[in-house]
Amino acid sequence: MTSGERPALTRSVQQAVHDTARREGPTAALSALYEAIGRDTPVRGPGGHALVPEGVRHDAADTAVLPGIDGLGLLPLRGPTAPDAPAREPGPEGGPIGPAAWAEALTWLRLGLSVKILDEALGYLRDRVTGGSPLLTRQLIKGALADAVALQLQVRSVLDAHAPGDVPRPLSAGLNAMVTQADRMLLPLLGASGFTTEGPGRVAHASELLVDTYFTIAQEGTDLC
Amino acid sequence: MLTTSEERLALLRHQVREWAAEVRPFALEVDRDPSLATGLLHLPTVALAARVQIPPPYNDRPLSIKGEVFHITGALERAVWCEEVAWGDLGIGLASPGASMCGVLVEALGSEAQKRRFYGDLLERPTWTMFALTEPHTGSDPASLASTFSRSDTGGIRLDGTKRFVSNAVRARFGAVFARTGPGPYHIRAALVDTSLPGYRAEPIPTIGVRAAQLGSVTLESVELSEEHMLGSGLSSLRRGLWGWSRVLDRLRPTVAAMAVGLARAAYEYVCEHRAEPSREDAARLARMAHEIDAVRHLTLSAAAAVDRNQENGHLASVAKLRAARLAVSVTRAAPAFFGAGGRIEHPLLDKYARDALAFEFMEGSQNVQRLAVAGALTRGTLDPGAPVG
Repeated sequence: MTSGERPALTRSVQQAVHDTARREGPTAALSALYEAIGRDTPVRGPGGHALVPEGVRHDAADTAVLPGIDGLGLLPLRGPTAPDAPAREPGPEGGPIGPAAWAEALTWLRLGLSVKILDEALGYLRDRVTGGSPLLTRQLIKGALADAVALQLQVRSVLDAHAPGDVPRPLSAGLNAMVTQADRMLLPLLGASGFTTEGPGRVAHASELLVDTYFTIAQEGTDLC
Repeated sequence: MLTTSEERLALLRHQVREWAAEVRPFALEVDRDPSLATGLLHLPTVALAARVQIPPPYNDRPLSIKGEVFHITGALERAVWCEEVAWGDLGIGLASPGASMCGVLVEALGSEAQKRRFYGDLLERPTWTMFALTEPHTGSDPASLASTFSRSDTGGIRLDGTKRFVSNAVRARFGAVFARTGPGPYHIRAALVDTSLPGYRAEPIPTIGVRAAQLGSVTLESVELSEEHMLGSGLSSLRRGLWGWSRVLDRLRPTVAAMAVGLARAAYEYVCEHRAEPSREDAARLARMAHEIDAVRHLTLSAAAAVDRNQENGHLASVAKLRAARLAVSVTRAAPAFFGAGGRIEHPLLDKYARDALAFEFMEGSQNVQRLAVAGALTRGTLDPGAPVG
């Protein structure tokens, strides 16, 4: 814990955020996280941007329009670099938890969303029959599922191995890159149903927006192509 | 007159790129409100889309650039056209009126009378068309089609079924609808259906990406057709059935790959234009992106040329689609990160590109379908990685 940083969230709160994400999706999980840290103003990322649930107090002029998350009840907020936005302190400093604990909490949240996408993919693949058998029985499908689940479990094992508050921010960034990778493996398995605003594709998109808002590329450690 | 096909294609590319740039300023607005897509006929690529991709005998007003005439009916010309149009904006490109996928099917399976009527209607006024294959529970697997053509009480043909993820379903005036006349692959037919017929109902399906194309679901309840609506009536059951129109899809696949290249290039060029003084590491990443985009374009154009030479050469199109879809997804996802945290919020066009690219995961066959097609061609010996491509 860095100087001036408040205590991290407990494991039970982290698990609850994860489970809410898995059960109810990104908005409910972010709301639960804001409630857990006792904050009603936006937690901003390194660039000053934020992705907040609708109940969080904010300046309406900061709201950006991103149709990919329409209807989810999430608001993207511009950072202080926008010409019409007032300058402000980036990061969640001054809030009940510090940047590392926030990043750790987001990792739990996004892992929960990833498992939600997996749950929905499994249901879809069980129900979808082509050539007389469920898609879930196809080798190509099973291979992709296994790879995605392996990544999710890898992330979970690292989170489980660290006491709450002990995950350094760069490690959280790396874990989030793995979560993103798992989502990207799962999404294609859903075909066009992963592309509708009602489907898990929008959850995956919101999850990527969270990473984009709260981590930088160097921290995320992703590679191109 | 230009002497080489390369010079002709370069001329086409240059001009379409110039026109496609005029589309870009409307991209975000139409993404927010897809109903605006029909009001863009003042844009050259949208207006031209309405009257190209029509074969020479039926089109006396083809595209003319500096005295060179283009009908945009060959796979290679289509690939160049589609890459540039998608570079302008993929959503608006897919939302444009014209023959599009339906036209390729009519060209391959339509009777002389059907072609005259179809192309004549398209040239008369800008007309949106659709291609209704995908179904709610079975996707685009033709063997599992559940929609039916049956004999109606009046002796005509009755069409019943449900279709999903049909581009322009709500705004189309007519389009191709696939259904079966009986069990088995030889009993799959397509009909040219007028959307004003009683029993046709279309509703939009809100999507994450390519929102301008306004994908829709189509319900067909006792739609009364006659033999003159059926495509391929004069052909053998093999040619008009599954085998016949899967060749049509092979011809279309390089154009889908080309659209993916166009989208990737749009994202890449956006980064180059807006990322001031990139770090050495970023510059290296951008250089790798550029090389990859070029490589996939070469592959795509080779696949298009192969299909133009012989329609049986569809396997290379699957290879191109496989690589191009992956390219579009990876480049558009990586692009916002060049602007640091909040890149998608500060650069909504890049957020849109990343959403649009997801369409390539399933458009014109899922990536797994392409993988299986490539593996199949490899094991049959029709694809030899040791031979020159194309």
